[in-house]
Amino acid sequence: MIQDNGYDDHFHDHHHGDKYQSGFLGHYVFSMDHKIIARQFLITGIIWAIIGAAMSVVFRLQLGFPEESMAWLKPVLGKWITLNDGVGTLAPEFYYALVTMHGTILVFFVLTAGLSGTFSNLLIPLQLGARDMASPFLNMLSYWFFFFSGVIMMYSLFLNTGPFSGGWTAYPPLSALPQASSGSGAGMTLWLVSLTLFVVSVLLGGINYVTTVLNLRTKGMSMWRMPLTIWAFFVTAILGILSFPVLVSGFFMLMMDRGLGTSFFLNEIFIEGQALERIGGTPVLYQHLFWFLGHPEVYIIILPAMGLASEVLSVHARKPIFGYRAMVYSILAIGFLSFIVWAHHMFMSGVNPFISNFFVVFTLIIAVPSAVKVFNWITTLYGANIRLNSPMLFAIGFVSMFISGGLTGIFLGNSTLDIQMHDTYFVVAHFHVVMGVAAFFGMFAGIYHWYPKMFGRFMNETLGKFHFWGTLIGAYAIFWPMHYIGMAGVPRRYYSFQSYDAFKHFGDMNKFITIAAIVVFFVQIVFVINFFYSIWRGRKMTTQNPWGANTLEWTTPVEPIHGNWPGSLPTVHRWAYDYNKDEREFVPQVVPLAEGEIGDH
Amino acid sequence: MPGRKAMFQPHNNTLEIIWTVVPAVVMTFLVVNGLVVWNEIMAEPNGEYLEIEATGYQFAWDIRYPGADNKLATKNFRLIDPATNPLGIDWTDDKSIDDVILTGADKIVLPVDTTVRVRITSKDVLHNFYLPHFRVKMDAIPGLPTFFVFRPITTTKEFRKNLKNYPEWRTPYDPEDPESKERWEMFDYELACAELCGKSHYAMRRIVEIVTREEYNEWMAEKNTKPYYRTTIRGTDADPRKGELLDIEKKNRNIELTSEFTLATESESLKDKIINLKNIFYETGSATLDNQSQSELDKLSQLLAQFPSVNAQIISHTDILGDADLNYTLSESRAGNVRQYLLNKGINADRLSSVGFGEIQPIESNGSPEARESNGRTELRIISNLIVKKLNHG
Repeated sequence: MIQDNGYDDHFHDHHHGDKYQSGFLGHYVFSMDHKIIARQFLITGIIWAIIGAAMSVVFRLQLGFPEESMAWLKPVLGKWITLNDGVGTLAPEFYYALVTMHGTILVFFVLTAGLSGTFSNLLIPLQLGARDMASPFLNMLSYWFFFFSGVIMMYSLFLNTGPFSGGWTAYPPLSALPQASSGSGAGMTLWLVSLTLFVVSVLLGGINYVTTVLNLRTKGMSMWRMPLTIWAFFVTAILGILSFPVLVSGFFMLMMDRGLGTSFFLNEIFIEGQALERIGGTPVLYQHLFWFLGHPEVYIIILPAMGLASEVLSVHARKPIFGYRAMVYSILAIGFLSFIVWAHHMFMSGVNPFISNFFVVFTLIIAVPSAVKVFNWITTLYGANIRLNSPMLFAIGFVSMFISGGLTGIFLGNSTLDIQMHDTYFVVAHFHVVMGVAAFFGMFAGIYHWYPKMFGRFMNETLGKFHFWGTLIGAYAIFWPMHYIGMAGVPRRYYSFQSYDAFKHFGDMNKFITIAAIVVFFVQIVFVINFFYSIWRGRKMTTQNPWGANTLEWTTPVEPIHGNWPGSLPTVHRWAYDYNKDEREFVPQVVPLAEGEIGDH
Repeated sequence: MPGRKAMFQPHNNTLEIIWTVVPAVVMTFLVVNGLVVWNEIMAEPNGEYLEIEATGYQFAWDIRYPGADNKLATKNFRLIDPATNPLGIDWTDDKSIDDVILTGADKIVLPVDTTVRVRITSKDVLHNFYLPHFRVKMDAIPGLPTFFVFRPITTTKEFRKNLKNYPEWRTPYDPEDPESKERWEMFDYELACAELCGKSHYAMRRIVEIVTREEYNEWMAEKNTKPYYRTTIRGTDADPRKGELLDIEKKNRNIELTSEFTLATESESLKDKIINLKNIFYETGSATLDNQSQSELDKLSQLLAQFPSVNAQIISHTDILGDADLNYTLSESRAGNVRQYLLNKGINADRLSSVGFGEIQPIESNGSPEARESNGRTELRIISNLIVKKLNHG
């Protein structure tokens, strides 16, 4: 159909006979093909996810079973486990390092690079009908900056003074002064270097995504015919381009405070017996700069997951996504509003309470487009012909988790309630449900759904269902009780609760959470095994469009090629959601309109 | 599911409007009510309040009470000395003399039904002053004081009594010891840190006790007898007012002098009739009266005026350093200057005589600097009329 109806961009005239990236290094390692780069992001992301999750198991062991010996971890953790009469205790500094690294790795390496990096790279050119990204070379660099950033962060784990341990938020003066914590020495330096490189990766990727969406849409692909995945990745990229540089500016100031004697964030400090000469700055400035990224960052994480879920829900419900335009406007509204709510992370930071009024208002406004999206997803399922396979289960699970996590966000957005709940487990529960579960579910939905496109095979469906139910039930088991202890006032980032009568009586609940966390970790291992095994032994994809989807990526050959389409590029005639329209079960975007048919909504 | 057909239902604008407006209305309700309460909680207090200060540092809290003047003195981080001045209080500030500092594990005691404003600061990194039972929480920032205002309404004892109603609070506090007190009896309000501040962030506990107004006044009265400046700084090298008398010290001395004087006039015992005039000072090596002596001398002249029938002899002693003859001359001049000052205040010359004994009547003989200080002294001896006349003229 594309041969007849597509258009020729002379790609094969230019590239016919090229030995394009044909060596091993050129083809698999330093590839400039977006589909390979996507898989590089995905696999690197999965490896970091295992590392970050393993860290969480260790610190959950400390919290759930503080009396139990951790001596068995000594071969791995070395000096960070101290032995007394054979009973191994985790060093508090390393507990804090684990917590810090867990947050850093999962927020940045897994949920930003691993989620956006994978699917933006994979789907933007394919769903838009483009040969590749606008700049394949910058795209390749984007992956390698991410990889190199990871190497540095990994190296910091093995430092003698320990990796950075001041929380993924890295507030100064703790993060600025090596005297305040051993992790604030070399560990913090490497953390800053690693994340600066990471931001370069994000910006290189983001520029590519935006440019490709604006300039490389194929004939007939107007903005209003793009699938919701693309809208989500597009707005996400814009958010990243606008907000990450502010984070880096904060990091540069922090580097200067650490190395050049400046006082951007320091004022009137007496530490280790000395009054420091640094005066005139304020730690609150860092928080503003950090959260100016930090808030859009969480939308950078959730919007792609939302896009993926929308697409998967529509395809496997055999029904158009309900309210496509409203969904687009909601994505735009969420994107815009995400820039003006950052100080809701700072209600108790010493900010003038008057200013907090504005941030409460905008925070609760952002709940409205989020609610609109939730209602639209639910209505998409109403009256649908649901195909309840793994990707669909995860997409539905995403909606469930987003509702749960989103609702607790509304509690926290109200500054009055935040007085009690700030820096307690209530916050931890909230962000884990939205990011640690919902965003992951969106990612899993995407992985299971587009796996055949990435690897030419299917993941095992039974293991997929096991993965879903295990993670859904397990994640609720982990995080539901956390809301309760948070509401009861138990603070976060505590190595132990034993000194406090007010907090120590939740021992049984903490044990339960830890056990659930360990179970969920092993369920993810099942997923990882399924993922890697299926690359070589999964059921092969024999047809171009196994799911019966409308979008352009399913019109490429079963064996992926450089340039995506042999011959002409597809021409688009309709929006992406004609499912069960008239007598046809699905109508791909390339199918021309019949006489009098409307192809847009 | 083959055979089943899904609806083709791409959108419905009415539904979109409904589920945009309804959440917006709900959010408006939450925002308005929430902010009304927020602005009340975070406002500066109306009327009277007790202001205390909490300073967080790695890894504990120091608490400062304002003392009798109900004002906290100024601080300067450059004045911090961990041994003598942990908070960096400016001892030249008059407000600092009565400030009470609770270090160590002392409970933070506060009166019930009183508005308390906590001034929250930090010495090193970010901390957070968190009282979970009171819904009080605020970051502690070095170089940027923050505040939280709250009003405790239930004393610790009352709270414990309420807990008795819950069966899980009637179990033994120590699970290993069934004879231990029950959990409700051991309950205390607690202060915790709620901003990651380093490796012992989880261990910055203090107990907070809410008591009745009377109990608080008692506790505060006892604490006020030992303000930090007077117990730890006064007279040391760290004391900027070393060598100066504090108003409170002058006041206390005047009261003491009055009672000593009164006793001296009434008592038959010779010992009681000699008063050590503690706060009379001379410039080093000279007979010139130091300005600090004014308070004692004025009080003395007042007392002499109040008891017109009383006569007295002023006696000056020196310590043993230096030449004995010179010391004798010095002490004579000193006593004479004191007498002259009192005469200038209007006391009749016939009532007072003066004499110097040099170094021959030491109180302490062990030769230490403290002993020497007490050896150099001025005394007042209450005597009868006849003897004065004889001493002056004969």
